[in-house]
Amino acid sequence: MKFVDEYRDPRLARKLVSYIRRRSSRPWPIMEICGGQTHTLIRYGIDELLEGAVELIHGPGCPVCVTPLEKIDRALAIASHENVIFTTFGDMMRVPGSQGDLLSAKARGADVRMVYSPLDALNLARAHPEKEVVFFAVGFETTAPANAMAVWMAAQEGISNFSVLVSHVLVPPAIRALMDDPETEIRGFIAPGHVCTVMGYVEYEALAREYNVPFVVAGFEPLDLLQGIAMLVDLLEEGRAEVQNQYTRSVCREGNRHARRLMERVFEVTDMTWRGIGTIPASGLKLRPEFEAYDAEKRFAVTDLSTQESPVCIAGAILQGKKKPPDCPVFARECTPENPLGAPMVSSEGACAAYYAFRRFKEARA
Amino acid sequence: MVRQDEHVVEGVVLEVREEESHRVGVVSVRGARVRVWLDLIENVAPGDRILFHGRIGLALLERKRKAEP
Repeated sequence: MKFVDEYRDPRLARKLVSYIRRRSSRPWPIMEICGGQTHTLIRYGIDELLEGAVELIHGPGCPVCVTPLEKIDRALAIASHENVIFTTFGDMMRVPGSQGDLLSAKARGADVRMVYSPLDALNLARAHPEKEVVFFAVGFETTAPANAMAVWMAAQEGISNFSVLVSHVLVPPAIRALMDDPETEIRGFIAPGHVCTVMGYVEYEALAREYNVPFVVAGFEPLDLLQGIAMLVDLLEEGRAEVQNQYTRSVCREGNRHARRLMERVFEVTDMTWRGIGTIPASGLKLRPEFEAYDAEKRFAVTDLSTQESPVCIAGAILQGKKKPPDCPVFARECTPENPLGAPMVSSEGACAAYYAFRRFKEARA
Repeated sequence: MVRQDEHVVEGVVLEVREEESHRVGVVSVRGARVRVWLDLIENVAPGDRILFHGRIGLALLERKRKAEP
């Protein structure tokens, strides 16, 4: 299959593994930002193949995982309104809030629907003018253009029964927060390919200069990541704090300027709380004042939210790369995909879900 | 199974049409046909391979290859 088979060629993979092992003079601690990349690394055992040459640290790039608990509780409260159709991508349905998740709210009678696009939610609003249709607009820069497009189209068409509950986060401020931590051991980054498809990598050049660390923008297939790691090890061994682009079939330096322009028209930067991490300045997006009419937080007054995290879940430390899922005392025991205590066990991009799917028997034997 | 970042999907554009001032494409993803808004990608044509999320095209991955002379 085009762009899949040729990026999973075992012969080329062995060559790249051999090259990285020869080239690396020490186990370089490098972070892959994106949860999609984490899943590929764990699924194909790339971290184990490279043991001793690089130490792969899993980053906070799982949008579902970092959506603040307060926002999930707010979603549950809005979804419980009698006249509301609450729409979301599938992986938000089972993320635990303080008092259950959206799937359990649906079981209790709330009209919660899974959609594949915010434009599907907009279609629901067109079809049900007597209802309020809310879309849970969650994600990094990759998902922002679609959400911006939905709000923009609603405004153009004057659709008044559509709104979005926004919880958008941005990657570069999170990298800054990680590198400002005096305990950080990260020496290089695999930058997120799809985020950079939208945003380009100019911002990462500034980060590379500021923190003297190299970045390689990489894709999501095994050979993408192996080639990206090989490029990163080259940069680390040569002491070059630069940005290079492995994912050239999708990413250019400036990104998608039309998508960025649309995002800038609809959203503005704001401080954001990251679940398990805390508040990071200028790390999120909110609707600009001219689109406030589409802000579900303003449309539905929700008060008396009292959030409560699981006392045993260590998702925060996992999202910051300080711990790995098997370090958690409840991993694959009390916390499973069927009974998640934290968001990283639910999401298709969560590190705990990756270890559960591809490593739990091995970890249990160990 | 195609395993990229599951929320971001690639497919081949089968047709492009104008719908109420938007460019909308029919995109083949592993045999399934999906409607995708193409306003954010320049000059997309049938046969091109694109990347999209939430039915919004984000990147042109590869132009349709010209037939051998």
